[in-house]
Amino acid sequence: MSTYTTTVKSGRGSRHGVVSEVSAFLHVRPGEADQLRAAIGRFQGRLRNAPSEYMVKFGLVDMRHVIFDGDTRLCWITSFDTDWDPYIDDSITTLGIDTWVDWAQHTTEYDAEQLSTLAGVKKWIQSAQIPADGFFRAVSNLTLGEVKRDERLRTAFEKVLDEPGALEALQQPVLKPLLDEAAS
Amino acid sequence: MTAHMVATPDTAVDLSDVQSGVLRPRPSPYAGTYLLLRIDDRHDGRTLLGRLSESISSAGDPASDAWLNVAVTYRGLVALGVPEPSLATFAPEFRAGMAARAEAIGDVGVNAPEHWEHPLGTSDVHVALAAIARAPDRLDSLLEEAHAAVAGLPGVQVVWRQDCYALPTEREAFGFRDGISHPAVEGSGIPGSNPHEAPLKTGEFLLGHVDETGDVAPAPQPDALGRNGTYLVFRKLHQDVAAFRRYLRTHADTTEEQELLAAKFVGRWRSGAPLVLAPDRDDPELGADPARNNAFRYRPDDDAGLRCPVGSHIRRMNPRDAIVTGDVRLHRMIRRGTSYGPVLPEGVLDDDGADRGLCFVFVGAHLDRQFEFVQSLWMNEGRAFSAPAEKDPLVGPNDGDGVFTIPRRPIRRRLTDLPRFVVNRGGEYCFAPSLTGLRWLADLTD
Repeated sequence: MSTYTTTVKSGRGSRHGVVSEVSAFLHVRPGEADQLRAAIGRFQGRLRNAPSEYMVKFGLVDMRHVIFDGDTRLCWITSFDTDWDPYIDDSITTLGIDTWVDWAQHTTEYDAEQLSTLAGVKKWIQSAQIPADGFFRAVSNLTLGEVKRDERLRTAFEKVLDEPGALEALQQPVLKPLLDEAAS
Repeated sequence: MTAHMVATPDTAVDLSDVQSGVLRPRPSPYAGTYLLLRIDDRHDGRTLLGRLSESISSAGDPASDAWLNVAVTYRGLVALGVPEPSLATFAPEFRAGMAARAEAIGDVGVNAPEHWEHPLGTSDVHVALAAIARAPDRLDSLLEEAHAAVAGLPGVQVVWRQDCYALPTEREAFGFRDGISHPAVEGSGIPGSNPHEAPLKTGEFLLGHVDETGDVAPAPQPDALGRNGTYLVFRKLHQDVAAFRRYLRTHADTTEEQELLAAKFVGRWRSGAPLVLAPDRDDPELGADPARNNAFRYRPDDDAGLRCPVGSHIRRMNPRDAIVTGDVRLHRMIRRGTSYGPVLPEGVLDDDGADRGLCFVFVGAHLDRQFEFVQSLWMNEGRAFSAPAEKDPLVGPNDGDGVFTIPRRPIRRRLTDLPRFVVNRGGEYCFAPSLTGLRWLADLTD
């Protein structure tokens, strides 16, 4: 259960616009690279099949696991459009600690007792995290929620453009900005 | 005090060990006084707490119409002589104090600590006493007890006082019914105000219990000190009522439109009726009915915010089942508000210079992911609501160019000139011990 010390705060990766990153570097347990790959596959599959609202809920933008250096090292990189602490708190709580343990247990840094609590998982990530010296994201000013909303708007606009009366409707002076975008 | 155990399948809370204001809503109407004290002598400070422990009201007495509660700041714990190993077990935000957290929670500019009312934010604030009663005569009795506890202790000084009282309208200074929403806490037996919300895990509001993550958050040690205690945040919020009225007048033509605009800011009509349940006009009967005025969700009927704007005040403070960034159950707050200052007469559009507003109190076991998260990520900005540039329209740090989008058919309305209506005059992070914890502090020896 709990520890009697306060949680070490916030990994604080780098940030560009509304998006922040976490980059963590770990060591693969000797001989367990294939098991780690399988666990990563399950984790990524869980994310890909999760309801889209989960991603908005904990602000996940992207995530990758990279096994490198002759199957001896693991790099875990993720970016999110909220702050570090709530991202970790909410994503672990939503997906469950077991989801992290499934792949983390194949690293030499894994500590079963530490990774049995939310606070422990946070500390574990912090211990392996290195803030990026450089972080760039195109459209860094847009949250995932805004991207999804813009996608709905584009779909609606395209539907309008496909209507026979679209040109006449867009002749209104106030709609000129939309008409200017209608050509492409 | 008699024990009042409420057994549930999972957790049981000894209500007689929990201070009343932690779990029970304040009475309404009410009269109240906050006192801040400085401890200059640890022995006098311990004597004070020992005397107070005889008067502090517990949540185990639901019929009480008057309660006296106490909290201690980190500087206060140091002044009491709490051993360093114990001090180190308190949350880092609490140990730093609110002034040191200013940048993290957006207390910058006019909200910055250098503008706070003295002695808020200074090292002189050690103990906070809250006396709240349904009627002034009962409040007077409580204050007599408080003053009796301080009497004859030269090492304890009262350094600040703030009187509060329910306005004649039973509303806060902007004119809205307040104190409507509060969550149910598992194991307490005290019902919440929203039947659609499952009780929150005990550990969200009481230290030493399992919280929504399935864990027990790090609690102050030893167990006798920390268990059943909680963290409090106190903030004195000045409300510019005249500016709010002027804004409504200049952005809506008729009285009905001004009232609707005001409701869109808050998410409720002034009566307390929620927009989700009364989207077109106020329903005072609904607003006054505690069985109905908080019984709603946002989905599926109001996903888009056409009734209650996504960025309105109450929807930011508690998004309920709406899809936002942040797991709502990890960021719930118990909030207590009491009004202070004179009423600005109806129709007056110019500020009279009087200090009026709300003494805001947060209750929760996690200063970081409850109070500070809501303050910084849900109130002071809008990434979580797909509107990064927008802040809370009512209480957010808007400075003349604040943006607020009101979903509306056929075309949404977007305000782009929101001024600031609320200024933080100061506050502090406090620890409200259980009654057991209070006696532990009182019984400290050198």
